[in-house]
Formats: sequence, structure tokens, C-alpha cells
Amino acid sequence: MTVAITGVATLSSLGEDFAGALLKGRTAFSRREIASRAFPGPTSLYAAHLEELPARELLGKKGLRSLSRESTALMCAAVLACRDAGIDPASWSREEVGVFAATVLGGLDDYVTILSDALHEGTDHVNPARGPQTGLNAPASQLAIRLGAEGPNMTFSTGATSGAEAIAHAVESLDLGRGRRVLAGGVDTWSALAARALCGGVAGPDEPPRPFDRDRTGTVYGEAAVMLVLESGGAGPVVRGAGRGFDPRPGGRADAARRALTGALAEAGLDAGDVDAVVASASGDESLDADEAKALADVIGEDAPVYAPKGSVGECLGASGGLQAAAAALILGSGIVPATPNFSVLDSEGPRIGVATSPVRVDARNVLVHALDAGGQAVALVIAKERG
Amino acid sequence: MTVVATGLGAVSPIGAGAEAFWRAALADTVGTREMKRFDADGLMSRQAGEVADLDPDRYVRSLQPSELSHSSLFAVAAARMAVEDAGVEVADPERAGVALGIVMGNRPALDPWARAFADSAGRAAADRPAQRAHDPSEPVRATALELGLRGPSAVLPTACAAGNTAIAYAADMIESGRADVMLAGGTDELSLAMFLMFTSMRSLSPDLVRPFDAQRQGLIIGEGAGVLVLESAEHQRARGAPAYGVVAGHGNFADAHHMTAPHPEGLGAVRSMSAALEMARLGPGDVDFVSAHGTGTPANDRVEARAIREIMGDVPVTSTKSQIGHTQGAAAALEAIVCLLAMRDGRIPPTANLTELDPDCDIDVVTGSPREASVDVALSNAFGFGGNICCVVFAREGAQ
Repeated sequence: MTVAITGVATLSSLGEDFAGALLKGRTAFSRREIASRAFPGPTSLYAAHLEELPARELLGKKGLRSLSRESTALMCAAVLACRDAGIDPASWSREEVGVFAATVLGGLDDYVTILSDALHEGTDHVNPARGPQTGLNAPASQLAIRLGAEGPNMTFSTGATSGAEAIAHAVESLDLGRGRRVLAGGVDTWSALAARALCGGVAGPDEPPRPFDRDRTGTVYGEAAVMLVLESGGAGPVVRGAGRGFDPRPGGRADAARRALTGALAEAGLDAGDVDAVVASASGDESLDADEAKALADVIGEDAPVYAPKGSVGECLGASGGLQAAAAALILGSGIVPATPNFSVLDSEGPRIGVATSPVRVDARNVLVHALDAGGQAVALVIAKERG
Repeated sequence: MTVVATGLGAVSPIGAGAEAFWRAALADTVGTREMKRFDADGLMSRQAGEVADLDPDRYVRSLQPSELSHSSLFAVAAARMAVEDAGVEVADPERAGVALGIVMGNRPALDPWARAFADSAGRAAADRPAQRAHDPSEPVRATALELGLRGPSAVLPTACAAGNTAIAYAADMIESGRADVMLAGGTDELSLAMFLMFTSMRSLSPDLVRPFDAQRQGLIIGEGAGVLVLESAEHQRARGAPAYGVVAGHGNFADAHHMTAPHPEGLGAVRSMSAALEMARLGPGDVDFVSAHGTGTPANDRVEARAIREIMGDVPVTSTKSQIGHTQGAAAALEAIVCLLAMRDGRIPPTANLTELDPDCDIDVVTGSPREASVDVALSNAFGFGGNICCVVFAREGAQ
């Protein structure tokens, strides 16, 4: 039985009208101070920051205090996605609903706060409610508890591909009859520690990323939470195929990407010529974008329009795969492939792919989503308009 | 497509190497003791299951051991052991992957850096933390690099269920034809944060882990790694290799109840055990041995014992955590090794430190000395914080 995306919700720097923002090529990158209880010193991060979460409105007042920011964000996205799908968690069959979430930084802030509280105030002052929030599985677990989802529950943390992997494996799990519905998505938010650990915190280029562009200067991160409702036999865009590739060796990434792309097409029973648009992983990184371009040129060629949404939302790690899938659903629904923000020209001697500088109208039936991580992981998904 | 286990690797508080680990388990060796890794001031307990005797140079050939976090090192070593045990040469690296479960994984490698940062109130321009400690998939990447693997690979951070989640994921990859060989297991290292967390929850035992005992007081944190080589039966038969057993079934259901307390009726546990048996096309009466999650906490053991009795009645049960503590992501993987070797040798290791069985834990716990028993089917439980539950059924080839 085919697995369809029956609901989608995104919470990102772009605010409420996600689709409109992507279509208009809006960006919302800014430098902000990141406050942290554990580290009162100055840390700022230039990124696509998540706006204030509508937590009270969506989740009610109870039980929010001990939730981490990332768990709260994922929960908000899940509630909105269920509304979008027209389903009510209060009345669903609990053991048939699973949660597959992706996060790379989840729990990090609570983890370090435990160390800091013990250091500054003594071990007696470590809050017992904080401990379980330190797990990468906390967002998925908190969600399952809040919404009553007793089906299969998994978390994935393989960097920028983790969200696409969550979707791929959710589809495989539903195909095997393990439940009827999976909430698949991801979340990542940036704490002061994460900013320092990954980005050096204070210094850095303060300009939006330029995916695939000849003059790109590096990845810029973002924060987001995204949730898709996947249902066996549901109505909506269908996940027709998934492919994976992995090569951790230096220089292995393009090959990993190629394998993921060809694997997804093969599973979907499609040729490269059947691809109407590509939602790429490119985030403005010099070599990662080049590796992806190489693979796309080899497998897809130059004809299909390529869109890199991280030009608008930044690299959102665990949330990226879901955001890319949401962009694919947008293309299928609107028939428009947005322009990639801040892209003007490809690498001069580089491979030719169809990155557009203005929106392109397409008869969109099959969209290929490709996620590529710096560590050598690649995951591709074919999302199609109808059941095939 | 049948999935078989053909190689075993273990890094544990009671021995390095699957056979050393197994011999120590049969001998009722208790590997929890006063820890050396951290200063235990202010912590509820100084006890830990610490890995002491691992020789990195023996197992790590391509990478630099000094550049690996403990958890990555344990994983690489256990993986190398398992591959050598299986005698498998990976003909097609693109069809051989790695799936590892973690709780914290290599996150503790951030600790010195995080402490320096906290000490300076965030003003220190601290060097970037070493060992890619911000990247949870580092143990997977290191293992794949060391062993030359390029197949489907993932880190599964599903708390204390993670080792089984990884075994289940790896089995799925092989069964669906996406891989021929998968290294599957889990790894974790001691971390101050985990000690602080369990101290704050008053969950640590002051002396020993006493699963199912009337006087049990809590768990002891441990570390290590367990890795299995899983293959499709076709791949195994083509190279004429023996198998320890079949990964016959697995089940994953969430308690969806509470972040730390198990569902009072063991809902997720009952469903996961039942689903694993159903996938294996076996009935509860076919199970010869249950490797319990058995952490030694009042809550877990009571709920688990009831679930085991409800489904399988009087089946022999043991908890390896009595000997090695709770090795977190490695737990279910090391306990899988116990299941497979119990099948091979027809012996079930005892549960250590049990002096008076809690009447509320009305199950047949093996104690004192190993029990001789023909084990054709073993079921392994793993229950994690957040209500993550994963159970795996192992069966002798031909037993299904």
C-alpha cells in the first residue's frame, strides 16, 4: 500500500506563511545574542532563527515548563500537522501511530546545563526533570507522551540526512504493516553551547548563504521544527521511493550522493527524465555543494529545475529533511519551482545543473528530494503527486 | 530473507572479547566497582561498570585511537572483534553498513570543553571541542571508516533501548535487500552528566545491582560496546560460515506514558515482546530464555517481571546488568551476545547479587550458577527512558 503525506507543518525563521516565503525567495537571517542559563557570557549566532513558539496556544499551559525548546518546537509542529491532516490525536488508535524524529543537537543544552548546575551550585541542585531531556530521543518521546502515540518510536541523528532518513524508514515501516500512521519529522535549535561548539560562536560571515553559487562563502545554520503525517493508503503526495548512499572517506561524498539518487529512482520505478524538479541539500558550503552538483549532473542532468531551500531556511540539520519534503509538496501543489535565494551563477568549470534564478512553472508529478551530509551520508526521496 | 548473526564483539566491564565476556558472565563475575574515571564527590554512588582492560592498538588499525572518544573506540574495537570472529571479508562494501545504538554516545567528549566554558562564564574563546563530540553519528562513521564499510548506516539514539533498535534496523536493512552484511550493536561511555542525572533522580544503587531482589535500590551506570555481524542467510551460506543464530523477530512500541517511569502495566513491553514473537512466527511457549532489561530499579523490575509472567509464565530469566551495570547503548547489544551464546552452549548465566526474590517479581530468575538448558529461542528486552521499547527474538537456525 502506498504511503502518502496527509499533513505538513513547519515552524521556521520564515514564520507562518512558509509556502509563500519560499515562493517569494524570502530569507530571515540575522545575528542574535543567544541567552543561556548555563553560560551567561556573550554568545551570538548569525543564523535563520526560529521565532517565538506558539506553545501555549497549541499545547495548553500544563507540563510545558520542563520541556526543552526543541521538544516544544517539535510538539507544536506535530499539533499543526495533525490539524493540517484533519486528524485528532484524542480519537486515533494509539498503538497504530508511531513517531520517527530527527535531531542532531537535541538535548545538548540540557546536558551542559546539568554539568553547569553541578559545577556552580552543587550536585544537589541538578533538577531531576532535566536529566531525561538530555537524550536525543527526548523530542520524539515527549511527543509520543503528549499526543498518545504508542506505535514504533525512533530517533535519527545522522546530521543533515537524518530527517530524510526518518521519512524513508517511516515509509518502510508502514509498508511492512507496522502501524497505520507515522509522525515523521525533525527539529534542531541552537543553544549557546551548540553555537560555540560548531560555529565558534562570535565571529563568522554575516551574510545569507548562496547555495550552488560560484561565490558562496559557507553554510549558515537555521532553526526549525517540521512534521509530516505519513499514512498508509492516505490521500496526498506519495513517497514513491527512497535511496541511501554512504561513504565516509575523503572524496567519497559525490559517490554516496549518486547512489542515493539512483537508488531512489530505481525504487520509484522512474528514469532521470521523469524527474520534474529537484529539492537539493545545498547550503552554501564550498565542497558539499560541489559534491551534490556533481552527483545531480551525473544522475539527473541539466534539464530538471533544481531548488535549494536552505538558501531561505539555512541548514537546519534534523529539520532539514522534513523541510525539503515540505518544499517538494509545495512544488507538487503549486506547479512552481521557487528560485534559490542568493544564487546567480554556477561554478565556472563545474557540472551543469538546472538551478533557477527565477521561479519556474512545471507540470510537477515527481519531485526528487536529496539530502547530503558532510560526514558522507546521502538520502534521496521521490515524492509524487498521485499514487503511481 | 532470514537474518543470521555470524560474529560477536564485546567490550565490557567484565572482559574484552565475546568469549572473555561470556566466561566471566557464566562465572557470575561482578564488574561494578568504585570508579576511577571521575571525582565522585556529591554523587549518590561511586560505583560504576568501567571498562579497564582494552588494548586499543590491537583492534584499531586505520584510525588513531587517541583521536577517538571512548564510545567511538569501544565501538570500533567491538566491531573489529566481531568481523574477525565472523571471518567475513566484505566483498561489496556498498552493501555492508553499520547501525549503532547510543544513549549519549560520544557527547561526553564535550565535557572538559563545556566545563572550561562554564567556568569562564562563557567568555573563554575556548578551542573547538575535539573528537567531533557534537556529532552523534561519530561512532558509526569511525567504525565504517576503520572497517571500510559504505552500506546503509545510522546511529539510533533511542535511550536504553538503543542496542536493540540498532539490531532491528540492521535486520530490516538486510531483510529488505538493502544490505548483505550489517554490523549492529551499541556503545556508550561513562559520563558525568549521567551520574548527575541519576543522582538527581535518586536512582543509583550505593553498592550493587540487585535485579528482582526485594532489597534492590537502583542501577549502576556502565560502559562498553557490543557488536554483532548480521548477514543474510544467503550470504552466510554462500561462504559456508556457521551462524550463532537467527534474528527471528523484533518489536518496537512506545509506552507513551512518562519520561522516566515505565507504563504501570508494561504496555509497551507487552506489545513489543508480542510483536517480536509474532514476527518470528513463534509463540510465548517457545521461548526458552529471557534476557531481562533488569536494571535493578524498583520500578523497572516490577513492571518487567509482570509483563514476562503475563506473556511467558515460568521461563528462565537473567539480568546481565547485575554483573556489568547498565551499559546504556551497549546494554542490549551485550545482552544479545548472552542470548546467542546461551543458545550455543545450552547454559544460562546467573543473575548476580540476588539474595531474596521480591514476591512482586514472580518469575524464574537464574541465580548462583549457570543453568544447563537447551535454548532454541531467546527473547531480549530493552526499555528506555522516554518510553522507547524494543524487544528482539533470537532463534537457533531451524527452530522456527
